[in-house]
Amino acid sequence: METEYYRIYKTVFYRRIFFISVFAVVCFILAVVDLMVGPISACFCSVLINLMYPQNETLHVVIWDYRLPWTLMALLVGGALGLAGLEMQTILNNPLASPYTLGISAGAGFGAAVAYVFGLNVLPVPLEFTVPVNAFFFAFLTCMLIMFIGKIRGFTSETLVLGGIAIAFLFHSMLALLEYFASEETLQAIVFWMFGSLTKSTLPKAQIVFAVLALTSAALMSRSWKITALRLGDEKAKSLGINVERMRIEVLIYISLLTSVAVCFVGIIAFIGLVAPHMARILLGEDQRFLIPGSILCGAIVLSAGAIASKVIVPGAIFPVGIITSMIGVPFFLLLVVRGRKHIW
Amino acid sequence: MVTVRVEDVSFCYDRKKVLDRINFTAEQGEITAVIGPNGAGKSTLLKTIAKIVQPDSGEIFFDEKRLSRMRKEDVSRIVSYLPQDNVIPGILTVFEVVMLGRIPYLNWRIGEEDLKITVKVMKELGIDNYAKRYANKLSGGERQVVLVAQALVREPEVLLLDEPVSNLDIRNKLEILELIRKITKEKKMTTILVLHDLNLAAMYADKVIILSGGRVYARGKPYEVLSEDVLSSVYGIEAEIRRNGEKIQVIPLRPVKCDGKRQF
Amino acid sequence: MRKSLLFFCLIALLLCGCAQVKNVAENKTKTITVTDILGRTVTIKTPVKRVVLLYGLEDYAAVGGKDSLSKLVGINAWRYKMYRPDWWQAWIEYYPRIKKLPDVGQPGKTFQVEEVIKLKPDVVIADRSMYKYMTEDVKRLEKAGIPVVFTDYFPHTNNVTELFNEVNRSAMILGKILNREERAKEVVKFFEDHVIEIVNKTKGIRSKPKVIVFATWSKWDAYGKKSMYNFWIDLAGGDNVAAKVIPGFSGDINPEFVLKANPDVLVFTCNNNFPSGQKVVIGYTVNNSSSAKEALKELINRPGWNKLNAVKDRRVYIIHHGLSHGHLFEFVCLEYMAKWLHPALFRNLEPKKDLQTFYSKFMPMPLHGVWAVRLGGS
Repeated sequence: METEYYRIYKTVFYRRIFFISVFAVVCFILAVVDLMVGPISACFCSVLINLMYPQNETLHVVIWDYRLPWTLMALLVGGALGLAGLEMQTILNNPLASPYTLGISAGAGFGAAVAYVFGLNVLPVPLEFTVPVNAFFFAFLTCMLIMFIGKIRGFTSETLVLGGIAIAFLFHSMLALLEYFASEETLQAIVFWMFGSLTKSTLPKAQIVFAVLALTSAALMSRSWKITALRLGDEKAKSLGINVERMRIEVLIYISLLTSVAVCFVGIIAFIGLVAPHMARILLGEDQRFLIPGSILCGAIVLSAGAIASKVIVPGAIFPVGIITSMIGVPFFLLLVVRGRKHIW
Repeated sequence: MVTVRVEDVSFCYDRKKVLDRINFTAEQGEITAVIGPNGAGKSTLLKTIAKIVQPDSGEIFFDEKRLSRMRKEDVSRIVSYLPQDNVIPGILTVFEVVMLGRIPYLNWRIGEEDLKITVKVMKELGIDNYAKRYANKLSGGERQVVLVAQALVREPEVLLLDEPVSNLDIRNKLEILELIRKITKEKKMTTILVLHDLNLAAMYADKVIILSGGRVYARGKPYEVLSEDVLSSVYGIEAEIRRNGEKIQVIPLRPVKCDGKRQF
Repeated sequence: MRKSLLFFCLIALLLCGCAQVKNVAENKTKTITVTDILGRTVTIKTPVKRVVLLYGLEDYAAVGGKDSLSKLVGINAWRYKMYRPDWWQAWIEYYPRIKKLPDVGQPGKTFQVEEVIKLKPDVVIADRSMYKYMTEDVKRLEKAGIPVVFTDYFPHTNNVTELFNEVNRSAMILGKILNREERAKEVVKFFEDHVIEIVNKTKGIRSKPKVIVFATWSKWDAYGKKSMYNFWIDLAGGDNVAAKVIPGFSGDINPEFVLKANPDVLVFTCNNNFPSGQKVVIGYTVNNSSSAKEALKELINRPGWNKLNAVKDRRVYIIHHGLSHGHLFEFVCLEYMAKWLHPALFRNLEPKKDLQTFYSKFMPMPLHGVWAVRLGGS
C-alpha cells in the first residue's frame, strides 16, 4: 500500500527533478561556452585558470571585465525574465502574458528616454546609472499605476490586462513624443537602448540582478502552492483559503521588481519571458515548486544561447541579442507546440 | 462533523438584494439541495457558506462557531467548495489535480499523509487507475469525478457543490450523485448541492430549499415541499407531480402564461 | 560742354538701366532645366527669388554667397536645432533673419507640405536621403507648380571620381539655380584640390595604421564598411578594422575585438549634443579643447584599453560629426584622418586652417569653435 502511492508520486517527482537537472546542466554548459567564445580564443583550461589567477593579462581582463559580466548577466536576466513571465502568465491566467504585458517595457523605455533626452535623473546617482535608474523607476511606476487601477476595479486578470494595455499605449505615445523631439544622437541612443543588449553588463549590475532574483524566487517558492492554486480559478483558490487579490498584488510586485531590474540594465529583450515559462511548463507541469526553478533555468538557457549566437554570427561584432533570442527561440518553441503531445496550457 | 446553520443572511450586490434574510439548517450526514430559478441566489448562498463572499448581515454557524469570526484558512480546512465553472490546467496529471485539493495542508515538501489520502480518495472514487493521465484528456464525466475527488481530499466536514452534474449524461449524473450520497452518509458530511434538475433533487436530497428572488420560498423534505402550486409560483411553469409514497416525480408541462414578461 | 556730356552719359545710363529692368521683366517667364542628383529633370522659373531649403544651408551659402540668403523664404530649422545645434547658433548670430524664417520641418518627421505651398517658393532644395520620406509630398508640390531639387554631397564610396562627380553635380545644380555657376566651380575646385592633395600622397602607402571610429551615443557602436568614415580612412591610407566585422553603416563591436585588433588610432565622433546630459565638448560654440580632452579621458576609460597602442601613444581623437559628411567642406574630415594616420607624411597639413580658408572664402561668417581634439600631445 505504502509503496503504491509513493510510486505514483515519485515517478512524477523524479521525472521533474530530472528535467530540472538537465536544464541546470545545459545552463552550465552554455555559460562555459559563453565564457570561451570570443574574438580572443581561449580554451576551457585557460578560461578556468584566468578566472582564478591573472596569467595572461589581456585574457584576464577579457574574461573578468567583459565575458564574465556578460555571461552572468545573460543567465540572470534570462532567469529573471523567465520567472517574471511565468508568474505573469499565472496571475493573469493567460498563456499569452509576458513580463511586458502590463506595459513595463514601455514604462522602462520612456524612463530611459527621459534620461537621454533631458539628462534628468529621478534619483541622485552616478552618470553610469542614470539611465538604468530612470528606466527602473518608470517601469516600477507603471506597475504601481496598474495596482492603482486594480485597487479601484478589483484585481481580476481582465482589469490588469486592459489597464496594462492602456498604460502601455500611454507610455508608448509619450516615448514617441520624446523621440520626436530628440536630437540625432539621442534618438540613436534611445533606439539602441530599446533594442536590448548585454554590452552594458558589469559585475555590480549582475550582483544587483542576482540579489533581486534570489530574493523574489525565494519569496515565490515559499508561496508556491498558493500560486499554483491561482491556476484553478479564482473561486476555487478562494475556497482553498487563499486571498486571491492579495496574492495577485504580492506576485505582481515581485514581477515588477524582476522585470524592472532586468529591463533597466539590458534594455528590452522580448520573447524570453513568453517562451521560457512555456518550455518549462510543457516539461514540468503546473507545479510551481518545479516551475519556478524550471522557468528561471529555461530563461537563462535561451538568453545564454542568444548571447553566444550574438558573438558568433558576425565574429568581432555584437549582434543585437533581442533579435537572436526570437530567431532561435521561435522555431524551438513552435516545435514544442506543434510536436508536443501534451497540452500547453 | 458539523451542522451548518444559516441565520438571517442577507447580501446585496449593486444595490440589488441577492440574498434576503435566509434561514435554514443543513444537518450532518444529509444532502441539502438548493433549488430555484436562475438568479435566485443559489450560488451566492453557497459562496457565503464557503466564506468567499461576506454576507452584509446575518450569521452562519458551524455548530456554535460563527463563520464571520473564523479565519479563511481554517474555513478552507472544514469546507470544500466546488464552483460551477472549474479550471483544470492542461498539463497536470489526475493525481496532481486531486492532490491540489489539499493545498491548505500542503507543505513545500509533500507529506506522507497527503499522498495517502489522495490515493485513498482516488480509490474510493474509482479513478486510481488513471492517476498518471493528463487531466485534459478526460471525458466530461471523468473530469467531474476528479473534481469531486479534489473536493474530498481535504476531508471536509461541509461539502458545497454548485451544479456538480450539469452537462453530464444521465448515467454520469446518477453515478456522481450516488457517489455523493454514499460519501455523505459514510463520512457524516454536511453536503449542500445546487441542483437544477428537480427530479434529481427529489431523488437524492434529504432536504430541499427553494430559493426565489433571494428568499427562502419553502424548505423541507422534497415530497413535502414540491407541489404544483410551488412550481407555478417559483418557476412559472405548469407541472404535474406524481407521488408514490415519499417518492415524487416532476413532469414539467408548459410555462405559465403571464403578461408577456419573462420572470427572472 | 563737359557738363552736358556728363548729363548725356547719365541719361544714357538711365536708359540702359531701364532697358535692363525691362529685360529682367521679360526674363520672368524664362525657365532653366536642371537634372538633379536623382536624375530627375526639373524645370525651374528664373530668376529664382524664393527658395525653401530643406538641407545644406552651408552649401547653399557657399555657392550662392551671402546675397542668396535673402532669397530664403522657408527653412528646415527643425533639423538644424536637433542635429547641428551649434551651427544653428552660428547662423543666428551672423544672420539673425534665419530665426524668423518659417520652419517647414524635416521630411519624415515634421515636414509640412502645406506650409511650403503657402510660401510659394520658386524651388525647394532637399537632400537625396529625404526623397524616400517625401515621395508623395514631391508629387503634391509639383502639382502646385513648385519644383523640388535633390542634391547630395555624402561620400557614398571611396571612389574619388564618383565622389567628385556627385559633389560637382550637386554644387552645379545650386550654381545654376542661384545663377552663380562660376562660384560653384570655384567651391568644387577647392574641394577637389584638397582631396586630391591627400589622395596623391596616400596612394602608394603600404603600411596602413589600424583605426576604429566610435560613435559616442552607444558605448560600443563603431562605424562599419558602408560609413563615410570608412571611405575617408581608406582614402587617407588607413585600415578601418571595424569594417571587417561590421558590414553595414554602424553597429556594436565586440569589446574583445578592440583589444585583439589593437588599433593604432582611435577616433570618437560626436555632435555638440551629448546624450545623458553630458557636456557640450566640441563644435562651433565651444571655445577651448579642455572639456573635449576630459570627455576623451572618460571615453577611453574602459577595461584593458591602457594596453592599446592608440591609448599608449595618446593617438585618440574626437571630431565633430558634421565635418564628416554631407557638406562641401567634408574634405576636412579626410584631412584630419590623413594627418592622424600619417602624422609624419602630413606634417605640414593643417586641416583647421583649410577649414578656416573655406569659411573665409565662401561662408558669410567667420569660423569659430573647436572641431577636432587630440587626447594628449599637441
